Amino acid sequence: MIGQPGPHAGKSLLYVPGDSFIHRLNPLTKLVGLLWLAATTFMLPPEGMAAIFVAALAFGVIAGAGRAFVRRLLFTLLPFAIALFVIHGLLIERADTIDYGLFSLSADGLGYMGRILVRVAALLTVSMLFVTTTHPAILLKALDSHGVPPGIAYLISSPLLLLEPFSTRARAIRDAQQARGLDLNGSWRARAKAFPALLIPLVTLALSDLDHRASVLDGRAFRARPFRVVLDAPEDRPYERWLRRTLLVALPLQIGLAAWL
Amino acid sequence: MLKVEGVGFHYVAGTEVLRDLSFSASAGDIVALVGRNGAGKSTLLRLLNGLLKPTRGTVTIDGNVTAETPVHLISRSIGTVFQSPEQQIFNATVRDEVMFGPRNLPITAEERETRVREALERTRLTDQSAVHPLDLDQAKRRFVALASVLATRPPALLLDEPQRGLDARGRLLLERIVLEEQAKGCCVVIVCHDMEFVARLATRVIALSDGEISADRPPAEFFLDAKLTAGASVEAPDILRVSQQLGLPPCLTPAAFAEAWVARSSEPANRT
Ligand SMILES: Nc1ncnc2c1ncn2[C@@H]1O[C@H](COP(=O)(O)OP(=O)(O)O)[C@@H](O)[C@H]1O
Ligand SMILES: [Mg+2]
Repeated sequence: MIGQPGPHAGKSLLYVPGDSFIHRLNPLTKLVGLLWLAATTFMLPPEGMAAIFVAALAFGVIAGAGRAFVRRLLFTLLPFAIALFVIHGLLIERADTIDYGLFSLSADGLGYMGRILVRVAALLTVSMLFVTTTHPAILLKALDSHGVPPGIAYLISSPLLLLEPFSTRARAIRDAQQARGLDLNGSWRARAKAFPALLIPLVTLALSDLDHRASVLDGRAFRARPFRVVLDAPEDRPYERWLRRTLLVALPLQIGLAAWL
Repeated sequence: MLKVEGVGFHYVAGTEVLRDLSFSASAGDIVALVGRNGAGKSTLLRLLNGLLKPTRGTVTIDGNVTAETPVHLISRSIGTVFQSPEQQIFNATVRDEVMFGPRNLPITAEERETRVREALERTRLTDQSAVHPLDLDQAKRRFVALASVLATRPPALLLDEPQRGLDARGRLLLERIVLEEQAKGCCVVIVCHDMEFVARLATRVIALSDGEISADRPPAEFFLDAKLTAGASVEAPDILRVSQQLGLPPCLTPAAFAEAWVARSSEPANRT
């Protein structure tokens, strides 16, 4: 199906191996925490969002994923920041827009841009904290052992699980096609011409993979028994259980409070 | 044809997969690359076809230094059959698959057709040319991968564990194709765990262990040196042990064994 388990078996695209206390938290605790933080972010003033951003970044560094964090943040936030700057700082005409001749700048627009950026940064780092410290396979086990219906558990974790074989696949296709003379380094036109030779195999193979996965899962009676005992379920400590309950209760209260105020 | 000079390689800084390799191979060579799993054989093949660039030293293929030549141009000098054929078969029919390589070459449509036809014939796939490659069994798929490389007529050929999943007939066909390529002056590098095959076909054995070349010898010398075979964690062909136990000169192949046996039988002085 995905080829033999390569040298990266057990490694996942986004997961950064480690043994920090964040790694060791039960995946469900982290998932609920992520949900809570994501919702909370929308209720906080920019300073609060910035605080969450800084805190998540700090935790990322503690988890030993500082470099991955900074790299991914730069790659996603920088283009986003530039686009926001062009749209809200330069293009949209506001009451306080000042014309500098060549371009016109709005302080209001910049403030607005800053707020969006901080919120996205906060959401992104918090999500990254989750995916970098949680192996998708362990998440799947945690969900499974808590009686989350397998279908839903699979739905939550499969995008993460699929990422790795998918990228391995993409690399294998690129290698194979290049080794048969596909030009991926040449002119812009040559590369555009080469694109279908990479994309078509990736899509067809991904589809046949999914098909295969579905039949394998059915074969294992994946849907047969909703409550199974997962023998090597990730550890779940009492305080984590309480933390999750608190967060889950806090969430609707917060939302109600925010709507009411 | 291919030249490796002082080559070192690591995927992750700090863990060298290959250290300071040097060897060269020329037209007509059949180099068997042996070594335990994870020794770096597949990595070495990827360094030869330019998909990986050495972190130290240089690899030169057909006069081109791989670090400075785009992979698609190197591929005109060197064809690769990867370890898992599933990873290099993408087209809807066997014919399209085999046509992929020639289509990337600056040759006429007519020439392309000729090469594809020939490659299909040599791999016994002519009858299946309209079939979807993934509908074929594993052995046939391996030959599709091989045909798609043969069709580009590369002067050097890299085969990564090509015997895996082949039955006796498939192995025989593979052997025949390797010999034909050799006869045409192709330089073949083959990663191989089948020591009978190595003994029969290889002109040289290169053993990798601990990231270094622990042996680079003709098969006869390699298999006779127990230290070398142990270092590469391979076993000499059974026939060698049998011939030694019978007090015959060391034989690596059944054919050589038969010859030695006949020679001894016709020598009355040696009869026991
Ligand atoms: N893409 C990769 N990234 C990191 N390490 C790799 C990669 N491919 C192979 N390795 C490692 O390099 C070593 C050699 O692998 P490989 O060349 O596949 O060995 P062989 O083909 O001899 O079995 C192994 O330790 C393997 O884990
Ligand atoms: Mg290998």
